[in-house]
Amino acid sequence: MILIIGGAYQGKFEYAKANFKEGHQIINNFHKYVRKTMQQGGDPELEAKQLMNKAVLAGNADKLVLVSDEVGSGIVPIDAFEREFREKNGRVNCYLASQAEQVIRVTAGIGTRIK
Amino acid sequence: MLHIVYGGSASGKSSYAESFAMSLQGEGRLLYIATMYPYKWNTTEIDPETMQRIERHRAMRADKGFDTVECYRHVEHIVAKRQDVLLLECMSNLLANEMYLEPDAEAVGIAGKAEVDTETVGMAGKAGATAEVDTETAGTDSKADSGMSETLSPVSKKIVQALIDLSTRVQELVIVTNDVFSDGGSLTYDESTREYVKNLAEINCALAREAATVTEVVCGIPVIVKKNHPMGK
Repeated sequence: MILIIGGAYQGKFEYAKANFKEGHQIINNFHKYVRKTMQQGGDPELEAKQLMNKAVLAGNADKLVLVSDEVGSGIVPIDAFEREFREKNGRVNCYLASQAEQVIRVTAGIGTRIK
Repeated sequence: MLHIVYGGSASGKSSYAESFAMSLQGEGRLLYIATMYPYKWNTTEIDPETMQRIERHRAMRADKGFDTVECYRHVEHIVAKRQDVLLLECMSNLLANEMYLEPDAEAVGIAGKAEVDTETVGMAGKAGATAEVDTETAGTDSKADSGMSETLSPVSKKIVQALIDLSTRVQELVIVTNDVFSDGGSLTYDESTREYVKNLAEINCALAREAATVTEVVCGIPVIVKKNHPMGK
């Protein structure tokens, strides 16, 4: 799996499309999936693990490109749900990074491979 | 030597910093300077979310060989030995405490009280701290007075000087600090929060300038942004 992370509107999806073409499956906005899962009372860390396991079993994990926002670089939110989302999204990203073959951080459209 | 580890919330910076501090340990102890103040949400009980965070960190560092020193502010009174490796977790809490804690709130917790010279802090519960003072190395020569410290706020200056001084008295000082600067908040937050953000930013800059290494942790991955040659800065 390839993980592409970075702040909002940094050109992550464009980077993914330009660099991972044939045969790759790109899932954009993974952080929104994390958020939605939490809103529905689910556990996003568990969901992420299941997604990875499924991809590994199906034998297409190396073609999977996940794109997600980093949301932790701000002041602690006053709202409890927002605090929890920030925490969970960070933990999910840490998990995905630990499983990834490559981690690319995109800042201002420029990708830097950090793993 | 001074080392800075920074990252956003839930970036994996603490876990990395713990491993990094362990890798630096030599003959001395591993001291964990815990700065999170156990806020009480009523007169007796600690806020559950705060307690949960404290417990999470305690569990994470259990069996890693750290001795914990709970020091919520006035870190200039920490006394450690020349050979010790210190991990301070974390700067964002220390700054918040220095800025917002009530003057009569305790500066140290129960754990590791002996490592803080409580007599000079003017605290109750004086411990045998003086036994821990290494008189040979307890210099107060600080490098923080050079350059941009002129522009630091008083609270930033106090923290920066205390930590640079502490780093000269021990083997290694690893400081965990937070990236809170990328949510556009410097435009929209209230004045007090903006002041906090600005203080944390200038503390990070001043410490990073003096540090031997600066590492950003991104999704658990350490990205080295500064590494001095071992022979010089």
